[in-house]
Amino acid sequence: MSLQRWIDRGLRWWTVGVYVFLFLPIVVVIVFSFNEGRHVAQITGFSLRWYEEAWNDQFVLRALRTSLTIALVSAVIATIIGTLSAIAMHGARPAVRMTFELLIYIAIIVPGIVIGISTLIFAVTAFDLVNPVLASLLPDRPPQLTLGLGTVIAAHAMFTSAIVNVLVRTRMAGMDRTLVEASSDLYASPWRTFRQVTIPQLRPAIVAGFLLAFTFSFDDFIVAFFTTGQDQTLPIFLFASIRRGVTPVVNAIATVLLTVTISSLVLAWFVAVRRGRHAAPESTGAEVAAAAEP
Amino acid sequence: MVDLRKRFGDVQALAGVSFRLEPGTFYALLGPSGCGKTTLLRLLAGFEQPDQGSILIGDEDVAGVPPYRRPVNTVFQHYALFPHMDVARNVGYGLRQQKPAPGRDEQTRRIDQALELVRLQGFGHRRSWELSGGQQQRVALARAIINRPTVLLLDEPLGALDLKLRREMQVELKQLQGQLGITFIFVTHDQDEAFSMADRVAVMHDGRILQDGPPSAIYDRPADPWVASFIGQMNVLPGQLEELGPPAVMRLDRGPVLHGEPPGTPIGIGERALLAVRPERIWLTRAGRNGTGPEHAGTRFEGRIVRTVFLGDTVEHVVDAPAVGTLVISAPNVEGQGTAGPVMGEEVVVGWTDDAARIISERRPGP
Repeated sequence: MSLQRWIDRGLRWWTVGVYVFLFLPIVVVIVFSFNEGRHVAQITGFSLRWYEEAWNDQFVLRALRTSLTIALVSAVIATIIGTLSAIAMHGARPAVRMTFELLIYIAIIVPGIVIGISTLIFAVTAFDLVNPVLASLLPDRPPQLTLGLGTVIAAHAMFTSAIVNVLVRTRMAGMDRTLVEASSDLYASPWRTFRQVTIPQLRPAIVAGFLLAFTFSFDDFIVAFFTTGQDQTLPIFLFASIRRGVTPVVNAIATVLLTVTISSLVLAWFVAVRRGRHAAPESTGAEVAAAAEP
Repeated sequence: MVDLRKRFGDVQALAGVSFRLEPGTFYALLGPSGCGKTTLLRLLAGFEQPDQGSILIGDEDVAGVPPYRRPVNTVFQHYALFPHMDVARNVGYGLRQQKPAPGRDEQTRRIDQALELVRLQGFGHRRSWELSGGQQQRVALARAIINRPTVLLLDEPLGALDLKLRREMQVELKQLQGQLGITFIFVTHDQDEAFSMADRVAVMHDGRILQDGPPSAIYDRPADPWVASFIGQMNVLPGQLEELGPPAVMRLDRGPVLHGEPPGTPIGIGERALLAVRPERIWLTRAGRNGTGPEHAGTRFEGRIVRTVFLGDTVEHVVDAPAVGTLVISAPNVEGQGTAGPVMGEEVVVGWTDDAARIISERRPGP
């Protein structure tokens, strides 16, 4: 056998090894979430008891509800901000547009821990300044701004709106400008053109952006950890319960998280590529994949 | 439309263009790419605004008015059909934007009517990407005429179609324009297209209209050296004007004094001019045999065929005539001349009648 054949064969096994290394832990989590016994490394039979236990645990449910609320609200905010900013940037002068493009890419690559810490510091400082003012304005029942759902939503919306922005802008760049001209030529006012042509053309990117924003928020641990205050999201709950000792309930919750995340990503890809097929090149699909990187 | 100017940065896209159209005219803007014809169309549609000048539709000056408030609709070069709507919704788009929009039944009726006009009955529920190029073209047309605009602008709408389909669409467009009575302004770089459809053709070059007139006038009486060379083939012989005529008299640089139709533009005695003769207006016979040419032939020269090109319906000879220079002569292929006619290297006599020659001032029409 020639050397080349040996190299080819070796590389093939190396690749297999890499994938095993990547996915084996995940597979273990999924398998043991369905395991009857309490102990890892001892498969005793198929069972849904850990899912049942998780479902009946009010702390788990509360964390799930918190996570879903944060993910939904922050995704809606991010979609609106991201889409509108993309449209505004599309019409801006090149110098302005390039500046904002750069800032947005920076927002995407900033590590989660930096976003977490900076949002925490900013929020605490801002609340320290604002709370006395509020207290003096409403002396009877002074509202106290504190860390909580609001700060997590704000922090998530901030970095996921950058992702929506990139997706929508890519789609816009691939959009046929003459469609807007055609609409205007057929007596549609700018507002009606926006509603009847621009938004429908951008819809796949907007929907995909929403789903990505939802996913990022739902499975985020770092940013939420710094900004959440008392409320526990599902990933934070997981982290906390692991410190109390790993039970198969953790495996069940992790599997649910994984399922939600993957289905949301697949849906985002499907919307961007399949629905977007007839108006823009497949770049949006590639963007979804690229945006999913960090 | 009066004296339009438009600059893009340093580029003068339109350097003063003006014309006036009778309602119901089929007007073609003909010129090579970059001549300003598309810019002109975009000014008329309202996608760009002129730096100077006015655009009158009826009595109303629409310069500065946005496209959605102009009684003008456009057929785009690549159709620009809305991909998220079916054919019927594309065609009815203009109706739905009207205030107040016509009722649902009225809309359906007019959409059907428009689709019938372009022979696409029953295509209402198709998607635009399911249609062929020619069909998409018709949808774009139906969409643009459904509001019965005062002026319909067409931006090289047949450019993306193959030759046979283009011929068919030319006939259909012309018919449609007759039926509707709408003014058509048609941008093209294809002179056959312009000539076969238009009532009037404007030849554009470098942001100006060099000549504006019926197709026959453009072809037979080009007013400008550039027009003469752009439209069809032309033999041009440089010289000086001696008498204004008619017939005008010109002394060629090579010596001979020839007669021709006087130029349509102002010119003085002694000024530089060109004598222009179409290849198909020159006759050619074998040397030594007298008399095949018309009896009253104003001009005749001896020469020698240096090249013969067989084109199917015509045969083209390139003749070197020492007295005037190289001439291109095209003869109809009536008797299978491809084999029996004069051949390369043969001595021939060529000539033309005085009315076949036209004198063109070398002076450009002023800005």
